[in-house]
Amino acid sequence: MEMHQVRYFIAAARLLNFTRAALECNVSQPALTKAILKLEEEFGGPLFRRERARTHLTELGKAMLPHLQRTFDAAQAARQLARDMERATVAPLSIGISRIVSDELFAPIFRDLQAALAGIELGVTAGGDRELVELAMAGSLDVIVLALPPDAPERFERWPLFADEFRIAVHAGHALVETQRLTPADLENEAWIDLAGDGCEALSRFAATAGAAIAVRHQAQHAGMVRQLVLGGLGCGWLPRRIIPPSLVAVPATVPGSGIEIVVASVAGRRRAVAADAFLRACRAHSWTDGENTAHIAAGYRTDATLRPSPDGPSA
Amino acid sequence: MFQSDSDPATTYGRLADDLVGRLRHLGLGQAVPRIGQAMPDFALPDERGRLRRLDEFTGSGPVVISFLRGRWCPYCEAELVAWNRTLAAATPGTFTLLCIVAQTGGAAADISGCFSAPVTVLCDVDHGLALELGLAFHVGEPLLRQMASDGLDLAALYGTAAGLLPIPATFALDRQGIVRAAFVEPDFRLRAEPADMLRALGLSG
Repeated sequence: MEMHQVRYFIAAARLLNFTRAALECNVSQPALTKAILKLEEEFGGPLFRRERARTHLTELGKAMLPHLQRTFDAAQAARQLARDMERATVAPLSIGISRIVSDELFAPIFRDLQAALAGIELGVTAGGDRELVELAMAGSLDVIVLALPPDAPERFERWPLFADEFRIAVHAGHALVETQRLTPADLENEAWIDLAGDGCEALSRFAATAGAAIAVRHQAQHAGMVRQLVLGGLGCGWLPRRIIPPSLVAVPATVPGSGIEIVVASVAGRRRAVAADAFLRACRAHSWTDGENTAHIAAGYRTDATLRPSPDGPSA
Repeated sequence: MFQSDSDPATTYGRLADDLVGRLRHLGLGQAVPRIGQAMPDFALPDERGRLRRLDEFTGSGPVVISFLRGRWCPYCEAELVAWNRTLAAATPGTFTLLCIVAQTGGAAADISGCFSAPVTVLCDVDHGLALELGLAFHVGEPLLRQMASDGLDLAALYGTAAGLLPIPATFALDRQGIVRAAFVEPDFRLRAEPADMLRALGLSG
Protein backbone atom coordinates (compact mmCIF):
# COMPACT_ATOMS: atom_id res chain seq x y z
CA MET A 1 0.00 0.00 0.00
CA GLU A 2 1.06 3.56 -0.41
CA MET A 3 1.03 6.55 1.88
CA HIS A 4 -1.51 8.52 -0.17
CA GLN A 5 -3.95 5.59 -0.30
CA VAL A 6 -3.88 5.35 3.48
CA ARG A 7 -4.26 9.11 3.85
CA TYR A 8 -7.34 9.12 1.61
CA PHE A 9 -8.80 6.13 3.44
CA ILE A 10 -8.39 7.81 6.83
CA ALA A 11 -10.00 11.04 5.58
CA ALA A 12 -12.91 9.17 3.97
CA ALA A 13 -13.40 7.06 7.11
CA ARG A 14 -13.57 10.18 9.24
CA LEU A 15 -15.85 12.21 6.97
CA LEU A 16 -17.88 9.26 5.58
CA ASN A 17 -18.20 11.25 2.39
CA PHE A 18 -15.93 10.73 -0.63
CA THR A 19 -16.58 14.18 -2.09
CA ARG A 20 -15.59 15.97 1.09
CA ALA A 21 -12.67 13.62 1.67
CA ALA A 22 -11.36 14.40 -1.82
CA LEU A 23 -11.66 18.13 -1.13
CA GLU A 24 -9.83 17.78 2.16
CA CYS A 25 -7.05 15.73 0.57
CA ASN A 26 -6.82 18.15 -2.32
CA VAL A 27 -7.40 15.53 -5.03
CA SER A 28 -10.15 14.82 -7.51
CA GLN A 29 -12.85 12.44 -6.34
CA PRO A 30 -12.05 9.84 -9.05
CA ALA A 31 -8.42 9.83 -7.87
CA LEU A 32 -9.51 9.28 -4.27
CA THR A 33 -11.95 6.55 -5.26
CA LYS A 34 -9.32 4.82 -7.37
CA ALA A 35 -6.81 4.85 -4.50
CA ILE A 36 -9.35 3.39 -2.10
CA LEU A 37 -10.33 0.70 -4.62
CA LYS A 38 -6.67 -0.25 -4.83
CA LEU A 39 -6.50 -0.51 -1.05
CA GLU A 40 -9.67 -2.64 -1.05
CA GLU A 41 -8.05 -4.94 -3.60
CA GLU A 42 -5.03 -5.34 -1.31
CA PHE A 43 -7.18 -6.07 1.75
CA GLY A 44 -9.33 -8.49 -0.21
CA GLY A 45 -12.70 -6.82 0.40
CA PRO A 46 -14.61 -3.53 0.46
CA LEU A 47 -13.65 -1.03 3.17
CA PHE A 48 -16.73 1.15 2.55
CA ARG A 49 -20.36 0.42 1.84
CA ARG A 50 -22.04 3.17 -0.15
CA GLU A 51 -25.81 3.39 0.08
CA ARG A 52 -27.62 6.23 -1.65
CA ALA A 53 -26.62 9.36 0.28
CA ARG A 54 -24.67 7.61 3.00
CA THR A 55 -21.27 6.02 3.18
CA HIS A 56 -20.42 3.53 5.93
CA LEU A 57 -17.32 1.64 6.92
CA THR A 58 -17.65 -2.11 6.45
CA GLU A 59 -16.58 -4.48 9.23
CA LEU A 60 -13.25 -4.86 7.44
CA GLY A 61 -12.96 -1.08 7.16
CA LYS A 62 -13.69 -0.68 10.86
CA ALA A 63 -11.16 -3.37 11.75
CA MET A 64 -8.41 -1.87 9.59
CA LEU A 65 -8.95 1.81 10.45
CA PRO A 66 -7.08 1.86 13.81
CA HIS A 67 -4.21 -0.18 12.33
CA LEU A 68 -3.81 2.00 9.28
CA GLN A 69 -4.13 5.15 11.38
CA ARG A 70 -1.34 3.87 13.61
CA THR A 71 0.91 3.00 10.70
CA PHE A 72 0.18 6.37 9.09
CA ASP A 73 1.04 8.14 12.36
CA ALA A 74 4.25 6.11 12.58
CA ALA A 75 5.24 7.20 9.09
CA GLN A 76 4.63 10.84 9.92
CA ALA A 77 6.48 10.48 13.22
CA ALA A 78 9.55 8.97 11.55
CA ARG A 79 9.74 12.06 9.34
CA GLN A 80 8.74 14.63 11.93
CA LEU A 81 11.22 13.23 14.46
CA ALA A 82 14.07 13.57 12.00
CA ARG A 83 13.14 17.23 11.44
CA ASP A 84 12.66 18.02 15.13
CA MET A 85 15.87 16.33 16.15
CA GLU A 86 17.68 18.54 13.74
CA ARG A 87 16.03 21.66 15.08
CA ALA A 88 16.29 20.58 18.73
CA THR A 89 13.08 22.40 19.58
CA VAL A 90 11.63 22.40 23.08
CA ALA A 91 9.94 19.04 23.54
CA PRO A 92 7.89 18.72 26.73
CA LEU A 93 6.91 15.22 27.83
CA SER A 94 4.81 14.14 30.82
CA ILE A 95 4.99 10.46 31.59
CA GLY A 96 3.49 8.41 34.38
CA ILE A 97 5.24 5.33 35.70
CA SER A 98 3.31 2.98 37.91
CA ARG A 99 4.77 2.20 41.28
CA ILE A 100 4.60 -1.49 40.45
CA VAL A 101 7.10 -0.96 37.60
CA SER A 102 10.78 -0.84 38.42
CA ASP A 103 12.17 2.66 38.03
CA GLU A 104 15.59 1.13 37.39
CA LEU A 105 14.68 0.25 33.82
CA PHE A 106 14.30 3.69 32.34
CA ALA A 107 17.73 5.28 32.54
CA PRO A 108 18.91 4.03 29.12
CA ILE A 109 15.69 5.20 27.49
CA PHE A 110 15.87 8.64 29.11
CA ARG A 111 19.54 9.00 28.26
CA ASP A 112 18.89 8.24 24.64
CA LEU A 113 15.79 10.41 24.50
CA GLN A 114 17.89 13.33 25.66
CA ALA A 115 20.58 12.51 23.12
CA ALA A 116 17.98 12.47 20.35
CA LEU A 117 15.89 15.46 21.44
CA ALA A 118 18.16 18.03 23.00
CA GLY A 119 15.13 20.15 23.91
CA ILE A 120 13.41 17.47 25.95
CA GLU A 121 11.72 18.66 29.15
CA LEU A 122 10.64 15.66 31.13
CA GLY A 123 8.04 15.41 33.87
CA VAL A 124 7.79 12.02 35.56
CA THR A 125 4.85 11.18 37.80
CA ALA A 126 4.75 8.06 39.94
CA GLY A 127 1.44 6.66 41.08
CA GLY A 128 -1.01 3.81 41.28
CA ASP A 129 -2.37 2.33 38.06
CA ARG A 130 -5.87 3.81 38.42
CA GLU A 131 -4.51 7.20 39.33
CA LEU A 132 -2.29 7.25 36.21
CA VAL A 133 -5.21 6.23 34.01
CA GLU A 134 -7.23 9.19 35.32
CA LEU A 135 -4.36 11.63 34.82
CA ALA A 136 -3.85 10.38 31.26
CA MET A 137 -7.57 10.66 30.49
CA ALA A 138 -7.53 14.21 31.88
CA GLY A 139 -4.67 15.06 29.54
CA SER A 140 -2.10 15.63 32.29
CA LEU A 141 0.06 12.70 31.19
CA ASP A 142 1.11 11.97 27.61
CA VAL A 143 2.23 8.37 28.08
CA ILE A 144 1.87 5.93 30.97
CA VAL A 145 3.70 2.70 31.85
CA LEU A 146 1.62 0.41 34.02
CA ALA A 147 -0.54 -2.70 34.28
CA LEU A 148 -3.79 -1.37 32.81
CA PRO A 149 -6.67 -2.17 35.16
CA PRO A 150 -9.29 -4.40 33.48
CA ASP A 151 -11.84 -1.58 33.70
CA ALA A 152 -9.57 1.00 32.02
CA PRO A 153 -11.36 2.90 29.22
CA GLU A 154 -11.25 1.32 25.76
CA ARG A 155 -9.70 4.51 24.47
CA PHE A 156 -6.22 3.49 25.57
CA GLU A 157 -3.83 2.31 22.92
CA ARG A 158 -1.54 -0.16 24.62
CA TRP A 159 1.62 -2.01 23.74
CA PRO A 160 2.87 -4.85 25.95
CA LEU A 161 6.41 -4.46 27.32
CA PHE A 162 6.89 -7.41 29.65
CA ALA A 163 5.08 -9.84 31.90
CA ASP A 164 5.47 -9.95 35.65
CA GLU A 165 3.83 -11.75 38.53
CA PHE A 166 2.88 -10.68 42.04
CA ARG A 167 4.74 -12.62 44.72
CA ILE A 168 4.95 -12.64 48.48
CA ALA A 169 8.06 -10.83 49.72
CA VAL A 170 9.49 -11.60 53.15
CA HIS A 171 12.72 -10.98 55.01
CA ALA A 172 15.35 -13.70 55.05
CA GLY A 173 14.45 -14.89 58.53
CA HIS A 174 10.75 -15.28 57.88
CA ALA A 175 8.90 -18.58 58.38
CA LEU A 176 7.48 -18.53 54.81
CA VAL A 177 10.87 -18.05 53.18
CA GLU A 178 11.07 -21.53 51.65
CA THR A 179 7.37 -22.25 51.43
CA GLN A 180 6.39 -24.07 48.25
CA ARG A 181 2.66 -24.36 49.01
CA LEU A 182 0.61 -21.86 50.94
CA THR A 183 -1.97 -23.06 53.46
CA PRO A 184 -5.02 -21.02 54.50
CA ALA A 185 -3.34 -20.65 57.91
CA ASP A 186 -0.21 -19.16 56.28
CA LEU A 187 -2.39 -16.50 54.67
CA GLU A 188 -4.49 -15.75 57.74
CA ASN A 189 -1.61 -15.55 60.20
CA GLU A 190 0.11 -12.73 58.33
CA ALA A 191 -0.46 -9.03 58.10
CA TRP A 192 -0.26 -7.98 54.43
CA ILE A 193 1.31 -4.90 52.93
CA ASP A 194 -0.38 -3.53 49.82
CA LEU A 195 1.64 -1.65 47.22
CA ALA A 196 -0.56 -1.68 44.11
CA GLY A 197 -3.47 0.00 45.90
CA ASP A 198 -5.92 -2.79 45.07
CA GLY A 199 -5.98 -4.37 48.54
CA CYS A 200 -3.77 -7.29 47.41
CA GLU A 201 -6.63 -8.34 45.16
CA ALA A 202 -5.19 -11.49 43.54
CA LEU A 203 -3.96 -12.78 46.90
CA SER A 204 -7.29 -12.03 48.52
CA ARG A 205 -9.14 -13.89 45.75
CA PHE A 206 -6.81 -16.86 46.10
CA ALA A 207 -7.30 -16.88 49.88
CA ALA A 208 -11.08 -16.85 49.42
CA THR A 209 -10.92 -19.96 47.23
CA ALA A 210 -8.96 -21.66 50.03
CA GLY A 211 -11.60 -20.56 52.53
CA ALA A 212 -9.38 -17.96 54.16
CA ALA A 213 -9.62 -14.20 54.57
CA ILE A 214 -6.50 -12.05 54.53
CA ALA A 215 -5.89 -8.93 56.56
CA VAL A 216 -4.42 -6.12 54.46
CA ARG A 217 -3.16 -3.95 57.29
CA HIS A 218 -0.56 -1.72 55.70
CA GLN A 219 -0.26 0.35 52.59
CA ALA A 220 2.93 1.69 50.98
CA GLN A 221 3.38 3.91 47.96
CA HIS A 222 6.82 2.72 47.01
CA ALA A 223 8.60 -0.63 46.83
CA GLY A 224 11.39 0.75 49.03
CA MET A 225 8.85 1.50 51.76
CA VAL A 226 7.40 -2.01 51.47
CA ARG A 227 10.91 -3.18 52.18
CA GLN A 228 11.12 -1.02 55.29
CA LEU A 229 7.79 -2.33 56.55
CA VAL A 230 8.80 -5.95 55.89
CA LEU A 231 12.21 -5.52 57.52
CA GLY A 232 10.47 -3.79 60.43
CA GLY A 233 8.52 -6.98 60.93
CA LEU A 234 5.09 -5.49 60.20
CA GLY A 235 4.06 -8.13 57.71
CA CYS A 236 4.59 -9.64 54.26
CA GLY A 237 4.77 -7.61 51.06
CA TRP A 238 2.68 -8.39 47.96
CA LEU A 239 4.37 -6.94 44.91
CA PRO A 240 5.58 -7.85 41.42
CA ARG A 241 8.61 -10.13 41.35
CA ARG A 242 10.71 -7.70 39.31
CA ILE A 243 10.49 -4.95 41.91
CA ILE A 244 11.00 -7.04 45.04
CA PRO A 245 13.81 -5.04 46.65
CA PRO A 246 17.22 -6.52 47.31
CA SER A 247 17.41 -7.96 50.84
CA LEU A 248 13.87 -9.27 50.59
CA VAL A 249 13.08 -12.75 49.34
CA ALA A 250 10.29 -13.80 47.00
CA VAL A 251 8.51 -16.77 48.57
CA PRO A 252 8.75 -19.71 46.14
CA ALA A 253 5.02 -20.48 46.36
CA THR A 254 3.13 -18.76 43.55
CA VAL A 255 -0.48 -17.66 43.57
CA PRO A 256 -2.73 -18.39 40.58
CA GLY A 257 -4.09 -15.30 38.86
CA SER A 258 -1.24 -13.07 40.01
CA GLY A 259 0.28 -12.52 36.57
CA ILE A 260 0.30 -9.01 35.15
CA GLU A 261 1.29 -7.44 31.86
CA ILE A 262 3.16 -4.16 31.95
CA VAL A 263 2.24 -1.99 28.98
CA VAL A 264 3.06 1.42 27.63
CA ALA A 265 -0.19 3.21 26.85
CA SER A 266 -1.57 6.50 25.67
CA VAL A 267 -5.04 7.81 24.95
CA ALA A 268 -6.04 6.99 21.38
CA GLY A 269 -7.08 9.66 18.95
CA ARG A 270 -5.05 12.47 20.49
CA ARG A 271 -2.26 14.08 18.57
CA ARG A 272 0.90 12.92 20.32
CA ALA A 273 3.74 15.38 20.72
CA VAL A 274 7.04 14.47 19.16
CA ALA A 275 8.68 13.61 22.49
CA ALA A 276 5.79 11.37 23.53
CA ASP A 277 6.08 9.56 20.23
CA ALA A 278 9.82 9.16 20.63
CA PHE A 279 9.41 7.77 24.16
CA LEU A 280 6.70 5.37 23.09
CA ARG A 281 8.70 4.04 20.19
CA ALA A 282 11.87 3.74 22.28
CA CYS A 283 9.94 1.73 24.89
CA ARG A 284 8.61 -0.60 22.24
CA ALA A 285 11.95 -1.12 20.50
CA HIS A 286 13.73 -1.74 23.82
CA SER A 287 14.31 -5.23 25.12
CA TRP A 288 12.67 -5.51 28.55
CA THR A 289 13.47 -9.11 29.24
CA ASP A 290 16.95 -10.10 28.22
CA GLY A 291 20.47 -8.69 28.28
CA GLU A 292 21.30 -5.96 30.76
CA ASN A 293 18.01 -5.92 32.58
CA THR A 294 17.96 -9.59 33.42
CA ALA A 295 21.58 -9.46 34.48
CA HIS A 296 20.77 -6.49 36.65
CA ILE A 297 17.81 -8.23 38.23
CA ALA A 298 19.69 -11.46 38.68
CA ALA A 299 22.52 -9.60 40.39
CA GLY A 300 20.38 -7.46 42.64
CA TYR A 301 17.21 -9.35 43.38
CA ARG A 302 16.88 -12.59 45.26
CA THR A 303 13.98 -14.28 43.68
CA ASP A 304 15.30 -17.81 43.80
CA ALA A 305 14.40 -20.37 46.42
CA THR A 306 18.01 -20.75 47.58
CA LEU A 307 18.41 -18.52 50.54
CA ARG A 308 21.47 -16.48 51.25
CA PRO A 309 21.83 -14.54 54.48
CA SER A 310 20.85 -10.95 54.00
CA PRO A 311 23.39 -8.35 55.08
CA ASP A 312 20.88 -5.78 56.25
CA GLY A 313 17.83 -7.87 57.10
CA PRO A 314 16.95 -9.15 60.55
CA SER A 315 19.09 -12.12 61.58
CA ALA A 316 17.49 -15.50 61.06
CA MET B 1 20.90 -12.03 -6.52
CA PHE B 2 20.86 -15.26 -4.60
CA GLN B 3 17.91 -17.53 -4.10
CA SER B 4 17.33 -19.66 -1.04
CA ASP B 5 15.78 -23.09 -1.35
CA SER B 6 12.03 -23.22 -1.35
CA ASP B 7 9.78 -26.20 -1.77
CA PRO B 8 6.81 -25.24 -3.93
CA ALA B 9 5.04 -28.44 -2.93
CA THR B 10 4.57 -27.26 0.63
CA THR B 11 1.64 -25.19 1.83
CA TYR B 12 3.94 -22.29 2.44
CA GLY B 13 5.35 -22.51 -1.04
CA ARG B 14 1.85 -22.31 -2.48
CA LEU B 15 0.73 -19.53 -0.16
CA ALA B 16 3.93 -17.63 -0.85
CA ASP B 17 3.46 -17.98 -4.62
CA ASP B 18 -0.11 -16.68 -4.26
CA LEU B 19 1.04 -13.78 -2.15
CA VAL B 20 3.86 -12.84 -4.51
CA GLY B 21 1.46 -13.02 -7.46
CA ARG B 22 -0.96 -10.74 -5.63
CA LEU B 23 1.78 -8.22 -4.73
CA ARG B 24 3.03 -8.12 -8.31
CA HIS B 25 -0.50 -7.64 -9.60
CA LEU B 26 -0.99 -4.75 -7.16
CA GLY B 27 2.24 -3.22 -8.39
CA LEU B 28 3.65 -2.92 -4.88
CA GLY B 29 7.12 -1.59 -4.28
CA GLN B 30 7.02 0.88 -7.15
CA ALA B 31 6.81 4.03 -5.02
CA VAL B 32 10.34 3.76 -3.61
CA PRO B 33 12.93 6.44 -4.38
CA ARG B 34 14.54 5.75 -7.76
CA ILE B 35 18.23 5.62 -8.55
CA GLY B 36 19.51 9.19 -8.45
CA GLN B 37 16.79 10.34 -6.03
CA ALA B 38 17.38 11.12 -2.37
CA MET B 39 16.18 8.80 0.38
CA PRO B 40 14.02 10.98 2.66
CA ASP B 41 15.54 11.55 6.09
CA PHE B 42 13.85 9.68 8.95
CA ALA B 43 14.42 8.91 12.62
CA LEU B 44 13.79 5.53 14.20
CA PRO B 45 14.89 3.89 17.46
CA ASP B 46 17.91 1.61 17.22
CA GLU B 47 18.50 -1.71 18.96
CA ARG B 48 19.08 0.12 22.25
CA GLY B 49 16.03 2.34 21.87
CA ARG B 50 18.07 5.41 20.85
CA LEU B 51 16.53 7.54 18.13
CA ARG B 52 18.85 7.67 15.16
CA ARG B 53 18.59 9.72 11.99
CA LEU B 54 19.52 8.47 8.56
CA ASP B 55 21.61 11.63 8.09
CA GLU B 56 23.87 10.59 10.97
CA PHE B 57 24.90 7.53 9.00
CA THR B 58 25.18 8.97 5.51
CA GLY B 59 27.20 11.81 7.06
CA SER B 60 30.04 9.41 7.70
CA GLY B 61 30.03 7.47 4.43
CA PRO B 62 27.95 5.32 2.10
CA VAL B 63 25.11 3.34 3.65
CA VAL B 64 23.34 0.14 2.69
CA ILE B 65 19.80 -0.06 4.09
CA SER B 66 18.13 -3.44 4.27
CA PHE B 67 14.49 -3.88 5.24
CA LEU B 68 14.08 -7.24 6.93
CA ARG B 69 11.02 -9.15 8.10
CA GLY B 70 12.69 -10.70 11.14
CA ARG B 71 14.69 -13.70 12.24
CA TRP B 72 11.59 -15.89 12.17
CA CYS B 73 11.92 -15.68 8.37
CA PRO B 74 14.44 -18.18 6.97
CA TYR B 75 15.16 -15.94 3.96
CA CYS B 76 16.05 -13.09 6.27
CA GLU B 77 18.34 -15.41 8.19
CA ALA B 78 20.05 -16.31 4.92
CA GLU B 79 20.39 -12.65 4.06
CA LEU B 80 21.91 -11.89 7.48
CA VAL B 81 24.48 -14.62 6.91
CA ALA B 82 25.36 -13.19 3.49
CA TRP B 83 25.83 -9.68 4.91
CA ASN B 84 27.82 -10.95 7.83
CA ARG B 85 30.21 -12.62 5.41
CA THR B 86 30.40 -9.45 3.31
CA LEU B 87 31.14 -7.29 6.35
CA ALA B 88 33.86 -9.65 7.51
CA ALA B 89 35.57 -9.39 4.10
CA ALA B 90 35.16 -5.60 3.73
CA THR B 91 37.63 -3.00 4.96
CA PRO B 92 36.10 -1.70 8.20
CA GLY B 93 34.57 1.75 7.87
CA THR B 94 34.10 1.74 4.10
CA PHE B 95 30.32 1.56 4.40
CA THR B 96 27.61 1.25 7.03
CA LEU B 97 25.04 -1.54 6.96
CA LEU B 98 21.76 -0.37 8.43
CA CYS B 99 19.14 -3.06 9.00
CA ILE B 100 15.53 -2.05 9.50
CA VAL B 101 13.06 -4.38 11.13
CA ALA B 102 9.51 -3.71 12.31
CA GLN B 103 9.54 -6.47 14.89
CA THR B 104 9.42 -4.98 18.40
CA GLY B 105 10.38 -6.22 21.86
CA GLY B 106 14.14 -6.46 21.45
CA ALA B 107 14.20 -8.07 17.99
CA ALA B 108 16.47 -5.28 16.77
CA ALA B 109 19.01 -6.12 19.48
CA ASP B 110 18.73 -9.79 18.60
CA ILE B 111 19.46 -9.10 14.93
CA SER B 112 22.32 -6.77 15.82
CA GLY B 113 23.79 -9.63 17.83
CA CYS B 114 23.93 -11.83 14.71
CA PHE B 115 26.82 -9.86 13.26
CA SER B 116 30.47 -10.23 14.13
CA ALA B 117 30.97 -6.51 13.32
CA PRO B 118 28.87 -3.81 15.02
CA VAL B 119 25.72 -3.25 12.96
CA THR B 120 22.94 -0.79 13.78
CA VAL B 121 19.45 -2.21 13.54
CA LEU B 122 16.58 0.26 13.50
CA CYS B 123 13.11 -0.63 14.65
CA ASP B 124 10.40 0.51 12.23
CA VAL B 125 7.68 0.50 14.88
CA ASP B 126 4.23 -0.02 13.28
CA HIS B 127 5.80 -0.21 9.77
CA GLY B 128 5.72 3.57 9.44
CA LEU B 129 8.82 3.94 7.30
CA ALA B 130 7.82 0.94 5.20
CA LEU B 131 4.48 2.66 4.51
CA GLU B 132 6.22 5.92 3.66
CA LEU B 133 8.31 4.08 1.06
CA GLY B 134 5.37 2.03 -0.19
CA LEU B 135 6.89 -1.22 1.05
CA ALA B 136 4.21 -2.22 3.58
CA PHE B 137 1.55 -4.69 2.52
CA HIS B 138 -1.25 -6.64 4.10
CA VAL B 139 -0.32 -10.32 4.41
CA GLY B 140 -3.88 -11.51 3.79
CA GLU B 141 -6.06 -13.82 5.82
CA PRO B 142 -5.03 -17.22 4.34
CA LEU B 143 -1.34 -16.76 5.09
CA LEU B 144 -2.04 -15.11 8.47
CA ARG B 145 -4.21 -18.10 9.42
CA GLN B 146 -1.55 -20.58 8.30
CA MET B 147 1.15 -18.71 10.22
CA ALA B 148 -1.03 -18.54 13.35
CA SER B 149 -1.77 -22.27 13.20
CA ASP B 150 1.97 -22.90 13.00
CA GLY B 151 2.55 -20.78 16.08
CA LEU B 152 3.82 -17.70 14.25
CA ASP B 153 1.86 -14.86 15.81
CA LEU B 154 2.63 -11.73 13.79
CA ALA B 155 0.59 -9.57 16.16
CA ALA B 156 2.79 -10.60 19.07
CA LEU B 157 6.03 -10.27 17.08
CA TYR B 158 5.25 -6.82 15.72
CA GLY B 159 3.20 -5.46 18.62
CA THR B 160 0.30 -4.72 16.28
CA ALA B 161 -2.54 -6.80 14.88
CA ALA B 162 -2.47 -4.93 11.58
CA GLY B 163 -1.23 -8.01 9.68
CA LEU B 164 1.33 -5.98 7.76
CA LEU B 165 4.80 -6.93 6.59
CA PRO B 166 7.38 -5.02 4.56
CA ILE B 167 8.61 -6.09 1.16
CA PRO B 168 12.26 -6.90 1.88
CA ALA B 169 14.17 -4.20 0.07
CA THR B 170 17.78 -3.08 -0.07
CA PHE B 171 19.07 0.37 -0.97
CA ALA B 172 22.65 1.55 -1.50
CA LEU B 173 23.02 5.25 -0.62
CA ASP B 174 26.00 7.47 -1.23
CA ARG B 175 27.13 9.95 1.40
CA GLN B 176 24.64 12.53 0.11
CA GLY B 177 21.83 10.05 0.77
CA ILE B 178 21.24 9.54 -2.98
CA VAL B 179 20.05 6.08 -4.02
CA ARG B 180 22.76 4.40 -6.12
CA ALA B 181 21.18 0.94 -6.24
CA ALA B 182 17.80 -0.41 -5.17
CA PHE B 183 16.61 -3.97 -4.90
CA VAL B 184 12.86 -4.05 -4.31
CA GLU B 185 11.37 -7.45 -4.96
CA PRO B 186 7.84 -8.50 -3.98
CA ASP B 187 9.07 -12.12 -3.91
CA PHE B 188 10.44 -12.13 -0.36
CA ARG B 189 12.46 -15.26 -1.15
CA LEU B 190 14.78 -13.22 -3.35
CA ARG B 191 17.26 -10.82 -1.78
CA ALA B 192 19.87 -8.38 -2.96
CA GLU B 193 23.34 -9.68 -3.62
CA PRO B 194 25.62 -7.76 -1.22
CA ALA B 195 28.38 -7.51 -3.86
CA ASP B 196 25.98 -5.72 -6.27
CA MET B 197 25.18 -3.12 -3.63
CA LEU B 198 28.84 -2.48 -2.86
CA ARG B 199 29.72 -2.23 -6.55
CA ALA B 200 27.04 0.45 -6.99
CA LEU B 201 28.81 2.42 -4.28
CA GLY B 202 32.16 2.07 -6.00
CA LEU B 203 33.37 -0.41 -3.40
CA SER B 204 34.66 -3.84 -4.31
CA GLY B 205 32.31 -6.55 -3.12
